[in-house]
Amino acid sequence: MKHDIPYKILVIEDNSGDFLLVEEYLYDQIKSPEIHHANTYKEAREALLSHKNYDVILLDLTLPDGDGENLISEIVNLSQDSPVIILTGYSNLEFCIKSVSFGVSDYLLKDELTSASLFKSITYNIEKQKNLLKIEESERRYSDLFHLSPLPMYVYDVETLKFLDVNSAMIENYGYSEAEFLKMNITQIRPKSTLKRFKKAIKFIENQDSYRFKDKFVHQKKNKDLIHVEILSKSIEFQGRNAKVILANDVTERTLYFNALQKQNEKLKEIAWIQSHKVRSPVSRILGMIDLIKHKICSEKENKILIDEIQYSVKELDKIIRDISGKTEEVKLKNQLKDDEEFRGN
Amino acid sequence: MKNLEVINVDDDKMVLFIHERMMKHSGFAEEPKSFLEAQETLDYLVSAKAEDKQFVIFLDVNMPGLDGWDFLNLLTEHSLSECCHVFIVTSSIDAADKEKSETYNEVIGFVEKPISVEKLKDLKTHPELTDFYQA
Repeated sequence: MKHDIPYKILVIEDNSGDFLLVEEYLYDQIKSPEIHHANTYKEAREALLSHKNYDVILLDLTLPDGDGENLISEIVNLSQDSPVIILTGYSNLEFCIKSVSFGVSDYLLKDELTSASLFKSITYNIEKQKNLLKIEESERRYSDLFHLSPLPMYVYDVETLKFLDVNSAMIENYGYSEAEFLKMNITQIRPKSTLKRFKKAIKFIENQDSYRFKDKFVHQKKNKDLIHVEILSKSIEFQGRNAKVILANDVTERTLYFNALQKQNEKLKEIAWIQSHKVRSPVSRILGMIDLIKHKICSEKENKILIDEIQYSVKELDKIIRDISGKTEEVKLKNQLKDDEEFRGN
Repeated sequence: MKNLEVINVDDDKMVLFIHERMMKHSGFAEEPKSFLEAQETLDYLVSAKAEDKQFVIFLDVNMPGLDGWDFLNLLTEHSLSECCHVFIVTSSIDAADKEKSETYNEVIGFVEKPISVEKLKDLKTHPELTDFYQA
């Protein structure tokens, strides 16, 4: 039974006898394969540059214009993600085993080749390659998520605490270059006074797959500025190391705003309390005294005393109002300071 | 009218003076009594307590030392609740104060300072006081 898969195959083979055999094996198994033949490296190169979509490349290791490791690396480079399978004799076996590490997908011994083993290798390696590409694609996507994220992120080695990777937002926010970061460990972006808490924290998350800290941490930039960060940690394996990827969201600005607002709020509350309690007292007294005078309730002598008392109460009121103005001024002043800080930051 | 005694309690002398004069002028009370302290008031009430005698007390809650709330608690202790009708007098009416006062049976109302002649005329028709002021 022939398989109805329209494989497009490049066979690079200078020995015409070997090529005919391979071709026969391919027709044995596949209903209508598209077979291209290259006798030399030069022909192979032309074929690979003009046809970019070979399903598989079968490569003989000794060509008149190229052989061995050089030939393999040239062909693998030109292969555009198509799997490369080496066809070889016994004499090259040791080298073939090594060649797998140069990017070759599989090797087959010509003397043991059958149509079935050739077909099996072809289908197997095509599928394997597809899966490898999927994994690469997904790795690339995750890497993009990391490197292009607008939030500062870094990866550190759980054992050595060294930075293993940092994204561009991290470089921008902290002021260290990537090369500097990769020579540092993660304690170096923290002020000494916070190291005790920090050590506790990394010990705590060591066995947590992912963790979001509720409290903020203090980090130190290259220029010694301190920032408040919210930390999110997740375990990953990075370059074969047990690592954590950390998202360090800089909330310094937010914290400053929050604190300023809180202070302002307290002041306003105080002002409101004074308004309702302290101001009302002389005001009510004045209203009462005016009412007495208006209703002609008191004697002439008493009225004079009342007027003095009204004056006294008005002065008291005046003082309270001045105090309130002072407090309002304080609130304003603090806002002004905030604006200046922002201005300097920009 | 004979069995009713009107008492003002406030730590501000001027407030007491104003209230006294207003009460006399409006006919709310002929001889209102004034006290600067809650303790003094309490002592007086204990000594003046008599059968058929009722007290209407205008009580400032914010006073140094024994404040208005302490005073209200002591009324019950001295079995004066039955004969005392209290108006809470404040310069600003706090929602919390109002809520708190509702837990006291003796409290029959709130008055914002200053008490005016018009307000006192109104108070004469207060349901708890109409008996005393009927012609």
